[in-house]
Amino acid sequence: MKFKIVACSLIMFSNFAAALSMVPADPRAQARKLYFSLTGVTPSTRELDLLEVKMESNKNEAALDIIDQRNEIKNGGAFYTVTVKDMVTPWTNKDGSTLSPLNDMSATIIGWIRDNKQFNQILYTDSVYKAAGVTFKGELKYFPKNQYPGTIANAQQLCDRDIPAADRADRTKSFWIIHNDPFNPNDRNAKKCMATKYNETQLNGFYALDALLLPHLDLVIETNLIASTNAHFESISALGLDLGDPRLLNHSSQEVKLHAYPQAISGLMTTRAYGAAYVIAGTNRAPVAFAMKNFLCKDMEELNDTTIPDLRNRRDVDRSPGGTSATYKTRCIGCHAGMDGLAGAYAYYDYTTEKLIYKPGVVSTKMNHNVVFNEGFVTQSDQWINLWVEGQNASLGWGQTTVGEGVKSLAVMLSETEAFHSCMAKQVYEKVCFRKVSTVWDKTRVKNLTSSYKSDSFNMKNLFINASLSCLGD
Amino acid sequence: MKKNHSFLRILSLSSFLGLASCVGVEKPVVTPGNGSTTSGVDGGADGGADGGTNGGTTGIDPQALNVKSVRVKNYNQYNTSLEKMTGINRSVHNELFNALKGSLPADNQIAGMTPFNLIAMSRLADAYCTSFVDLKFSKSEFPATTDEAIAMFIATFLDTAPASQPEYYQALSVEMEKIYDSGTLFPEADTNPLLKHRNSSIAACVVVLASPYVTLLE
Repeated sequence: MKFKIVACSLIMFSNFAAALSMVPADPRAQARKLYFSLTGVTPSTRELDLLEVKMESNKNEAALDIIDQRNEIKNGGAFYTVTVKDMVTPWTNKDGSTLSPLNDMSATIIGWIRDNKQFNQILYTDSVYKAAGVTFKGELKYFPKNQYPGTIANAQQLCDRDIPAADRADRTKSFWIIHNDPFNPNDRNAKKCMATKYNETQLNGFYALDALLLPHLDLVIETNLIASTNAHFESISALGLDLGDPRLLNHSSQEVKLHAYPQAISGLMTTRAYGAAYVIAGTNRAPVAFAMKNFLCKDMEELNDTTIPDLRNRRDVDRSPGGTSATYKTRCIGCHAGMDGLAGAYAYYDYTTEKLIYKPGVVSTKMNHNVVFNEGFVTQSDQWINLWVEGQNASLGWGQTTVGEGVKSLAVMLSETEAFHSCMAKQVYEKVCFRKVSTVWDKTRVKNLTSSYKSDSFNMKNLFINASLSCLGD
Repeated sequence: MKKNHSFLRILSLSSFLGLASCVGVEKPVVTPGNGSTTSGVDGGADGGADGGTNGGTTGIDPQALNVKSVRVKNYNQYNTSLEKMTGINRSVHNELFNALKGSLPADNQIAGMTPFNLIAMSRLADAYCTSFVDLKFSKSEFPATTDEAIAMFIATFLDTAPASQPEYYQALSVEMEKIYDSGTLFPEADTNPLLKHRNSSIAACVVVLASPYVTLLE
């Protein structure tokens, strides 16, 4: 019986879905489609009323209204919290999953897009985005020490306990924060959960001051240490905060917050999340392989080129796998020759104790272990060389940089490629148009989007807008 | 167990509302193959995620269809939609959302939709609707009559104006009235009219928020 009900539901669901696809492309339907394209959430009638008018005069402005919540558009920053986050979260884990929580890498990307920064510099520029809150003013309620909840999720429940159900559900009426016990700041167990409730007049006063009412994350010691924990970013997600709010995520240097040495810093490629995903364990080839996949849209299989000399292939690569050197020559060398030449950039990095560690001048032991071929390359520094500038992979459109030392120069080289720009255009197009680039028509559009992206100072926000408008009439 | 039954009923009615929505907006079309005119109500097993194998008895013109263009909201898009539409901050239901995350659609491909996705969507909608209705009740803002409650749901959640789309509006109202009129959905609340009104309202709310109007990206 249950199966029958669910089956019927599915059939009815499909019928309705089919009917909806016939909606004519009038301005209102277009506004609705643009809203879905950029945010993935359902617009209100009021928003459609406003956007419908603008769609006829200036579609770009309508898109900007949706993205940055201007002119009465309110969507909780869904462009950043949903669309951008969903697109970039797979870059931050090996599985390519969108289910991972917000982290320093995805927060930094969101911040760069929100602030209209030149996206072609994000791989190497010293930058990380984290939250900075505003401490509540007003009467705070303290909870007894033995009732301190321990986790942020529990803290919310505890803080909510004495607040009427009506106000609990309405976050414009109740807030909560966690604060160190001012009398014992170093004792974690002494932290107090404090809840406060403001009436509408008080809240309006805060809004008038443009104060951002959120937990003061800087005061939570473990979440301020973004180098060794992701709790800071996970708490932002759990609180459902608007990632598009310019008062929430703020730019800062990676120095001190993530790394002790300036030479260790290289934009996204030295964030904690990048280390946690790709530098952990292994042989430090993954940071290169996944940079190719995520930033140049090229899997290693696509880059396989057996014509490249194997002078940089390390000692852990078996030259006769299964007892035959033919396998090495016809398969293994194709990826390793290029990849091993580049992976030296990460020679001084390791990911241990939940942290991306950089030791200047000290080659990580994992770079040279598992020796199966003594005559192989021994990594002695963080020098790297790009052996893919010739052969089939020359088509990636490399720039001037082809050799270097450390991650930053490697990141500069990746940023100079044509493939980086077209890859961004391709991923944005697939995200907002809800389909893979497969037809000639799609490929032409991506090519045009890439051109406009480059001539537009690599503005990702505009790339999203242009891509969503390009498939509006589909 | 009883609650599960309620979910399934709501789920069924939810989808039925979606079907009824088709009735309201769709003009009768002549189906190629047999020349018969249908209204779309008796559309059966075609029009599925992959375009279906058309038997020629549906009310949907296959020439006008591009079923592949229909997308379903993923877990994040759906959760944010519910937050936006009800005004209930997502942190209130974060625990349930995290528990359901794996059961909600992972991407936008409707071909991958399963009954489990629909059930998970209904459960999440139920949580938001409960908060939404209780919030209104606690502020004494919730309409006292069924008609007013239905009007409020349609006005709040759907882009439907009674004046400009009378047939569509009427079809929606009729379907939602069935929830309120049903004597079997919440029999335990019969003795308490206010509780019954609340529970029926939550169910009516779920019918809207778990319907294709909200779950699809169209």
